[in-house]
Amino acid sequence: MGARRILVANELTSYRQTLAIVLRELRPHVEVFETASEYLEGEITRLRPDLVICSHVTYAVRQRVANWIELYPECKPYSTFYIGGQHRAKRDVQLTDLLALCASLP
Amino acid sequence: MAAQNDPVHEVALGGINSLPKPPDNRTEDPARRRGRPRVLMANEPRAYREGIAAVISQLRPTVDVETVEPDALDESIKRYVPDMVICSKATETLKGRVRVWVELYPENGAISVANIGGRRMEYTEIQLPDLLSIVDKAEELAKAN
Repeated sequence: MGARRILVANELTSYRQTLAIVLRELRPHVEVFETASEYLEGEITRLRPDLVICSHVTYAVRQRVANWIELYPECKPYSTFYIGGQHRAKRDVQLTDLLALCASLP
Repeated sequence: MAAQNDPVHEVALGGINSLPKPPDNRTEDPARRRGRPRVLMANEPRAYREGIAAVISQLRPTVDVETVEPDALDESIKRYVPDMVICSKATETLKGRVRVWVELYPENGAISVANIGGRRMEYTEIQLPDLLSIVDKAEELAKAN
């Protein structure tokens, strides 16, 4: 099996860049890609990511991505994880939560 | 003054080595480390605050970085006496006491505002290298004092 692919597509640029860089540095065994949210659907087709992290989950994400995180929609402190077919709501996600998930993607 | 970054044409960053390096004139002597510049992070949401703090700590090892919850900002400014603050909502205490600060995405919009030694800058879509550049300016101002 090849390296797991993570596509980071959060809306606010410096936040997106920060997540992508931290994941690349601290989880070097996964491939991390970054895109502006308006290009998310095209990048899903091109990259076929195993996990998408975005601010607003779209129909295409729900239909075509096995795992996704809707992280802080509208910058509110709650997020939704869809991992391994299970939905989970989580308040006040920490960086370590994201790192742990990237280390154990199904 | 406005620093413009077109979000459509922004360049995706690579690894941490793709980010701007600090100026070359830095030293690591122990005396310098004791009085090293301080950056206080109080923006929200939390994972972004922690992520930016991690990047600054990694890329600017001569800088001390502390993270606090936004509601502890004013108290932390008085206790920690930072040279720079990154927050989501600038307070009067912040404006009165800190020379360099960034109000990052207030009201969750794309606009951010920075104050660098009394000079106001507005960013339509601030990027991580911009934040690192402001950290460098805060360090220069701290050294000059």
